[in-house]
Amino acid sequence: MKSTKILGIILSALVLFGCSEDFLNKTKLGALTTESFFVAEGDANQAVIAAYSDLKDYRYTWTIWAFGDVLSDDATYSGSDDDVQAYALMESYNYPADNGRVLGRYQILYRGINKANQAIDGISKMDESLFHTYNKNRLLGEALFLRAYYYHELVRAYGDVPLMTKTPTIADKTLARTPASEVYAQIEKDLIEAAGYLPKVSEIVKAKEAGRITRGAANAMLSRVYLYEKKYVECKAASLEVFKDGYALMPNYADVFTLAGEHCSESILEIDHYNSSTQSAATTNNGNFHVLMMLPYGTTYGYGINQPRQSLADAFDAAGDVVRKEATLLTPTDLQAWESAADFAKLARNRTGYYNQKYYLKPAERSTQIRNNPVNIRLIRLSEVYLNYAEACVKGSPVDNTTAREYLNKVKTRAKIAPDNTSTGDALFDVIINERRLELAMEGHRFWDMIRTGKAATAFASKGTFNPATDGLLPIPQAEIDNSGGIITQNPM
Amino acid sequence: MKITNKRKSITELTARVLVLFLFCFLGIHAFAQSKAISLSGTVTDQKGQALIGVNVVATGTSSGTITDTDGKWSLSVPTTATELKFSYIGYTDKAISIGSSRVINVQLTESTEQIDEIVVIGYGSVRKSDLTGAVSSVKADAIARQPVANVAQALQGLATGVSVTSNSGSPGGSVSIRIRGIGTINDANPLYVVDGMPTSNVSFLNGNDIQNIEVLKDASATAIYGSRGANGVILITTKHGVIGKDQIEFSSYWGTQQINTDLGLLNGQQWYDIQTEINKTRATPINLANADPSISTNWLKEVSQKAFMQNYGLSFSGGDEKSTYNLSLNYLYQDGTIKKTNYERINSRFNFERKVNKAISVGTNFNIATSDRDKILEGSNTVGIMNSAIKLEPVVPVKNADGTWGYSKYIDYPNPVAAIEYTNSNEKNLNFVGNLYAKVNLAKGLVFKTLLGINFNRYDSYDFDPTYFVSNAQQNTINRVYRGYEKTDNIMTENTLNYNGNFGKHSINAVIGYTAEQTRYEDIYATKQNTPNNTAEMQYLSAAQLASSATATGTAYESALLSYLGRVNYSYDDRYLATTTFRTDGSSRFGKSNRYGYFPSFALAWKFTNESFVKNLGLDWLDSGKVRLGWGQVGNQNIDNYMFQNLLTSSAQYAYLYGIPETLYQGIVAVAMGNADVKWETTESTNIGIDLSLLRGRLNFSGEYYNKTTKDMLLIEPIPYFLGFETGPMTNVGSVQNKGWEFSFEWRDKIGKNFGYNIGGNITTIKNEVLSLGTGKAISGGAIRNGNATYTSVGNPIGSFWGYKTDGLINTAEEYADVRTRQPKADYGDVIFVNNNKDEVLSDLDKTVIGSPIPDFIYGFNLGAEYKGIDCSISFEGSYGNEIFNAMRYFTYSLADVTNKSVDVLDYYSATNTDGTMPRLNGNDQNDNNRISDRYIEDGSYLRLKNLQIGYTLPVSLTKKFYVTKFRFFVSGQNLMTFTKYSGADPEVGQISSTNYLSRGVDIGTYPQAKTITGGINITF
Repeated sequence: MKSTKILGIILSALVLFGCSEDFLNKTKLGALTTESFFVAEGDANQAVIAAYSDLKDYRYTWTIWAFGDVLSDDATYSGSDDDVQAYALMESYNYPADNGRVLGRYQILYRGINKANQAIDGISKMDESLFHTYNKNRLLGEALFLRAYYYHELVRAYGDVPLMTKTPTIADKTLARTPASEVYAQIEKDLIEAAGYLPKVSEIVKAKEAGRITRGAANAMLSRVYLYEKKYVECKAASLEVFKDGYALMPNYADVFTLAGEHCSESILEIDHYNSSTQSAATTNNGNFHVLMMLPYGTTYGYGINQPRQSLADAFDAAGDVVRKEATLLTPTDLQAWESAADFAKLARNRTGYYNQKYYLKPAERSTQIRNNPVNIRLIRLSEVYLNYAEACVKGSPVDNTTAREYLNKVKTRAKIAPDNTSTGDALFDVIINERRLELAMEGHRFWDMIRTGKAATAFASKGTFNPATDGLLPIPQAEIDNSGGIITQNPM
Repeated sequence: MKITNKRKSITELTARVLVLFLFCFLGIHAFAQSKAISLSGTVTDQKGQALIGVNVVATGTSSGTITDTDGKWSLSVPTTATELKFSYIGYTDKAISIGSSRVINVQLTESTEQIDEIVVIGYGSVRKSDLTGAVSSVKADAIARQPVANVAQALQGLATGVSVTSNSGSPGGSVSIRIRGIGTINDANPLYVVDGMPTSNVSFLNGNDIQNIEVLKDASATAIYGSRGANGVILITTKHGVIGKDQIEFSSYWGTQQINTDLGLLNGQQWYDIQTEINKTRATPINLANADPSISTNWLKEVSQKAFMQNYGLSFSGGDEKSTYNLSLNYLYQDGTIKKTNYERINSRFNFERKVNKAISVGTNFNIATSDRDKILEGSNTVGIMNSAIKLEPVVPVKNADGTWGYSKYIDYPNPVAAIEYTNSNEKNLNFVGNLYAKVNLAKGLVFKTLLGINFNRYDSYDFDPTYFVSNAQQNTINRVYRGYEKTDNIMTENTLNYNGNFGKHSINAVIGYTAEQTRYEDIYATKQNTPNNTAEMQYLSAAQLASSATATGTAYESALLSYLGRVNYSYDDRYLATTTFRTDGSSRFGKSNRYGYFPSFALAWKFTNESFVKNLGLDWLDSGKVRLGWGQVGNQNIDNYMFQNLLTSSAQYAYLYGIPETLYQGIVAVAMGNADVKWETTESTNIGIDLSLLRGRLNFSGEYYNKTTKDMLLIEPIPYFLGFETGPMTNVGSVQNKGWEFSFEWRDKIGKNFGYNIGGNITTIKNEVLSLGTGKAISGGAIRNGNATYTSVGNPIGSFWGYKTDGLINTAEEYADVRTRQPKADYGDVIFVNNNKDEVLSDLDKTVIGSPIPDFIYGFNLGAEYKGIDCSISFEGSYGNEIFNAMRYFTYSLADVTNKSVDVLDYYSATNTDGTMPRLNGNDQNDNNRISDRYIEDGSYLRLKNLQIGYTLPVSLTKKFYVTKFRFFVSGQNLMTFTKYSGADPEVGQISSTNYLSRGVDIGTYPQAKTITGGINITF
């Protein structure tokens, strides 16, 4: 009896202290952790897709036109009285640091950078032998391009910005702004490396992969970035690399902006959108939100925002440019032909007489989901690279007027306007810049081009006083200055 | 693979326990019954009246019985028995030696001293007089007499230090309990332990099944629950059968509930007149020709109803020397006071214990509950039902003459009656909580207990949006089915070794133990559109036809807790008491470096009345007295799982398109920063208390001072945007302090022979202050229509209301000139907002604390009386010094918009009424009079007649012919009267939702508590 009791105590002690530590290791169910990721090539591919995803976030794409077009002399914000009011300070170059667009762009671009960094860090550590379906270097090249693209979108808007080239840890929260020159150096480095990894457009099957980044996109981006840095020799070299890849201007300018013209022969990079029926929330949609914004107020839906101004129409007229004016500016006459009589009768809030035709869809093409229209956003086209090249030829040394005019005239000829065979030097440069305005109108270039070339104060005089010392950069979002405890400083305002 | 290994560890453990059982059964000799003798007799009181239900036990044996309705008993006892013990509540025990007489008649005398109750303290129990920590006890009858579905609601006003707030008056709605203030911005709900089973919710319990409730409040009491003790612990013990007292009990009540529908809003004509006035300043006047001022819809009346409730309970309980049992079945049905809400619950309980032999007892406590609840939309500040019913214009008819729905011609707010009509929102719950246990007497005073428990919960939700048309803004063209399923399986084992021993003047009561617990959760939610029609039969996914609309989501998690615990209660000479507790918890919610938490506590108590020098004072009014001092550290692990890991997401946002035509490809990425070093929130608390029993047990008094400080409070650290993560890591940086006093007393006496009465009361003061938020900024919470109502900042109470202070209206030229410098668009009759920081401008920097949802004190008091068969009890509860943020004033106090208004608005400022208390009517309010300010703040103090019950028990002499030992009928009122200055529907304003912790006291249209009147019966056979 006694011995059994003692045995009982021993046994109960065993039960008491017998559980293993393993019991407490509970990993997340139904979701991956960073520790369990980047072990198969599919992981690498999905990490890169995530890095792409911020490209289509409406909070970033909103600023492509809300800054690129609306802050220039080409367009005005328009929309309801509230919309006009809310954007009035921006348009008069008194940028408020708490403006939602100023924050949205900054926030989303950094999210994209973080995702690209995660992909680069993860893929770099993976063994080459894991890749069969996908190509490791190509995936790396795409992530590097995206990081560079996002940084360029940041640096041209905000100037000095913190440079993160790895997955951040909490210790990085005290980072300060990095000089823009260092950011540019990183962008160049990433793009050059990416160009070495990426396939040519002719090497991909468009049906499966159109929309993924190619070698041409990396070189075209380099060509653009070098102009911002005034590195004309390098710009020319990069542009020539693009020309090797078999891109060709479409014969008919207007076709480029139709649904059928997506990923056409002159398209170098687009943000893809389609008409999806399930994903309709603003951040999870995969359609183009901005079609809703830019459709004339009174049509099926539409806010009538981002209206081209008369000065843009005048610029087309001055150049005798009928083709591109017709393809860019949507007028009530057009609408009368395309909209139902009932909708046409409801049109209102037309503040300038023009709408942006490059984002316009005829009623039959429109999605029933307001945020899900299928228009791709054209990010880089061959004609931009032609004009980059022409600009580098005329601004570089030695000045090469002939080649500059040759590439300028490729663009002019396609638009069915007379070639320029005489201009030289600064006059030629002005012609090229004016050609950019007409060729790339309402595609989000004008504001940046005018600042880059020092022409903003004159060009934008009709909208407000543009002070190049303070208005060439947007403010750092106030929320960022607050979040960083003042380590991140404000631009001169 | 890994998961299977982990599963194995708990199975292994179970196997070990079972082996141990087997060993005990085999190893210990069966108890042998020897020859018996028969005894009988009668038990009476001093007056010779028969005493019913007296316990009669042969000392040292397992033989026992109770007296019948004539006070008679008979019992067969082993020949070895030498003594019989008679005991009866309220009477002094009596022991009689068994002599040669086979008939033993006994007279018991009424006891003058209070019985020393046994108090459950977690993994053991102590005599109440030996308690060293802060513990409140609530007895069964105080719970059972309240017609409420959730036991937690019934605690309101009954226990010192315990603040109970319903988040909604909806049947089956959630309840928030805060013990001694609010210790964290995260989940501050206490831990519930039902018959040893930890759980986060007690909605499955039937009030009638409860024996008693103990609330452990300070760290010295809760440290035995370690990482889950910081918010206090509520221990609930359910009823067990009594040896020799087999009985059948039936109880039932029926009642009606209603709410106050008169909130002092404008009628149709008043609304019309006000709008006519506002129209004069509107840029675009509204077309009042569309409104019919003769229509005065009281929307609150239209959405509410007089609601029925009923409850039936049946229980069988009893026991003999070897076994006790308690089986119960209960049915509750409650309609809500807002249409289309109701709650139905069936629960069944099975408690059983049996002595297997001299050394081993085994038992079980099982509860199965199913509930079915229809609910409406609450917690929405735009389209919530109550919210809409308060703000919609009275000139809108419920239905037009042609049968179509009425709707506002001016603003897109829904018709709440139509919204209810088209609501199909149901949830069903199945809960299974239970355990099996064995107790083994290993040696004298040494008991080993092992327990295996489960807590399984199944939750189903059904929603259906039918197709309907009310107005352009309130319509649905394609119907949609929503279906959800959640499953939580919790399994635990608990093994303890208890020791009780006395060595001369030394007495020790100790426990050591080991527990392991594992929870697995999984949910599935799916929706699909377009069923053939809206009938109930078609509200299933299988009927929905639009394939492209189908969505499915799901989540799953596992968590585990592994703990070692120990406690020693030491007493010397019944004068000095010391308790030390230690628990270490390992939790899967934390990374390897911080997985284990260590939670110690110490307490000392001195029963000074047992000192000879006190006894020698001859204070015969002082029966007993004790002072207590306790200190301890406890934790809070009520946080999400996996916060130490960097989780990846593949949510739809991170997808991208490519190809012609485009195909969607899903990306995977980390968007939230993990923190491998995340650890427990720790609360350190100190408690000083005194317990006194005076005037021969008639008056009991307790007083306590508490001070508890939470450290390492978990906050999401704000990070700069350039890091590119959407949310920052959880970090342990905050600190919150709660301190205050608690007092309670109870007076119990008899006047004459038949009149017994008692009076009790309690009061708790609370001072809450956020000491630190680390490097983090203040935290906004309680989202309302035009911003956030609460702001948690250092130096102020958690969830304080935050906004501008106001200083009346601009009425004089001086005021006009002065105020215009800061409010450039203000005019006469506009609100003056206080320039709090004394700078040149009025800005966000002038916002300050304008109120707190945390009361200065909460209190309760109760009265009870008995005269012959009549019993009466009254209990009040109240709250003082808290404010309510009446967010409905965004509409009802607006002097610019078209919504319905409070009648207060009629006293608006105008040229002819410059003494007006409300700002001028202005359809173009450039001064933003409606901005968040103290105009929204109201005094939230209230005193409520919580429960009043009058019952009558028929004399036993009358009922015993029908074998009925007790027949009682009663009428009862719940929330009969509420004294408050609050203008809203009800001053009991909880959180906007059960997990929106920083929205306490924000009223965005709270479903009010009902006034309930019930009648019922209790019959015992």
